[in-house]
Amino acid sequence: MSIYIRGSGAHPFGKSKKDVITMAAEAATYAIENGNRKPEFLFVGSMLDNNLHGVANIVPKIADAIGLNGIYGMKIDTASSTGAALFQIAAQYLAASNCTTGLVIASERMTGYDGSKITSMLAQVLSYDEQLHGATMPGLAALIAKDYMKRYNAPYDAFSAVAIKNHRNGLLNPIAHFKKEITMKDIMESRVVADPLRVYDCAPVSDGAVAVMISKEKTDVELAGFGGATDTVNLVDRDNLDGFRATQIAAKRAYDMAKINSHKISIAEIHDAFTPFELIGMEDLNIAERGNAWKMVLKDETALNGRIPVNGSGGLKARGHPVSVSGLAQIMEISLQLSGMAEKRQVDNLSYGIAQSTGGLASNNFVTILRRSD
Amino acid sequence: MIQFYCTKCDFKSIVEHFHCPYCGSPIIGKEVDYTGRISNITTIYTVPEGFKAPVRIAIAVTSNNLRVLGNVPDDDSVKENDEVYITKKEGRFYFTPVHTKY
Ligand SMILES: [Zn+2]
Repeated sequence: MSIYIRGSGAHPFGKSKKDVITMAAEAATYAIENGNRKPEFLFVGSMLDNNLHGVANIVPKIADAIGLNGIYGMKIDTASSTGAALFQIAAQYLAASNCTTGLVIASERMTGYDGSKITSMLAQVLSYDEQLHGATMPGLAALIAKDYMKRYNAPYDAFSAVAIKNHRNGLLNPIAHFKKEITMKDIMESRVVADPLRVYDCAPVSDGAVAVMISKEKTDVELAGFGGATDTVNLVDRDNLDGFRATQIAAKRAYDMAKINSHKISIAEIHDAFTPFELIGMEDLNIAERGNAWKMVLKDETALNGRIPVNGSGGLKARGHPVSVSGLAQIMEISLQLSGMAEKRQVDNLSYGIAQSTGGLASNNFVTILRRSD
Repeated sequence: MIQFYCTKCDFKSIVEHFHCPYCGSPIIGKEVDYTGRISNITTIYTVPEGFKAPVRIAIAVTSNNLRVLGNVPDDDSVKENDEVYITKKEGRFYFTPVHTKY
C-alpha cells in the first residue's frame, strides 16, 4: 500500500495572537485547499493545550472550526515528537481503513509566559527523579553536550556553526520564527542557559501550527518508511550517552521498511532542540560517522548547497519550536523539497529525504523517510 | 544508599525501579556505600519553578560503573573528574568532595 503526501499548510511560527484551535484551523484550511480533497479522518497533536491553556477534547473543537463535523478523529501525544508520531499513526490508519484521504494537524501556543513557567512545563517530560534535582531539558542537554565535546574533541564552535547555518536557512523560510542571520559575536554575547549551552544553542519557545494531507491517490511524494522507539526516561539508566538509542532503533526500522541505507538520503531535517542534538542526530541516522558530524558542519557540508543539507528549513533553532508541531513541520519541509516547492530553499536532484524527531530527552523518537515517487 | 539490580539481565540503577526497563524482570535492592567520579557537570541558570537559580547538576560514575544524577554545591568545590561522596536526602543525590571532612 502506497501512501502519498497531497498537501500541507502552516500557521507561521513565532509569536501569534491566535489560540491553539484557530492556528490549527488556519493550517488545516491551507492544507485542504492545496490538497483539494475533503479529509475523511483527523489526527491531532498538541502538547500543552491542556496543561497551559485548559483546552481538553481538542479534536471536535478543531473539526467544528474547519467544518468537518462527523469526521473520525483523535489526539496523539508523544511530547516533542508528537508531530511525527501523528503522521506515522495516520499513515497506518489510512493503510488499514477504506478511507482515501486524511488530515494530520499539530498546533501549539507557548509564548507569553515567563521562562520559569515554560521551563517547568517542558521539564515534565523528564523522569520524576530528574525533576526532583531541578534538572531541565537544557540542563541535561548540556551534560550530553559536554560528553560529546570530550569524547570527540569537538569544539564549541561546531555548535555555533549549527546555529549560524540554521539561522541562515531560516532567513529563506517564510514560516520561520527567526528571519535574521547571526554571528559568532552574537552567540558569545548571549546568555548562558546551562553551560556550555547559550541562548543561541537552544530552540526558541514558539507558537505555530502545521497540517499535512495524506492520501492513497498518487502524488510526487511517497512515504517510504517510518519507525519509532522509546528509551529509558532516566538518562543515567542508558547504556551510554554516545548518541540516542531511540533514534538509532527508529532509524533502523525506517531504513528497513524503505529498503534503503543511509547513503540514499540526500536531505535531512533533524531535531536540533539544542545545537549538539543536530550533530548527534546525524550520527544516529548514519549520515555522519560517529564522532564526525561536527567536522562536517564546520566544513559546510550540511549547508543548503552542501553535500547533504541538514535543516534547510532553519530547523527547530530558526524555524522555531512549537513543541508538538516540529516533527510535522520537518515532514512538510522534506515533502516540499521532494516536490520542488521549497522556493528559495530548493535543493536539486533529490530522491530520498529523512526527518528525525525527538520526544522528551530522546525517550520517544521517530524517523520518517519520504521519496520522490516514480 | 540502595543500588537496584535486575534479577535477570545486567541492568543496574541508582534510581528506584520495581521492574527492569530493559527486560521487565523484578528488581532487587542492595545497601551500599558510594563514592564516585564526576563525569559531567553543568550550571543551570533558567531553573524550574520552586528552585533558586543557579542549580548545579552533575553525573557521577561509581567504581562499578553506575551513573548517578545529583546536585553539587554552587561553588567550585566539585569539578569534573573529582572524586565525590554520594549521599541521598529526601530522594535527591548530593555529591560532595572526598577531601572535605564531615
Ligand atoms: Zn533486566
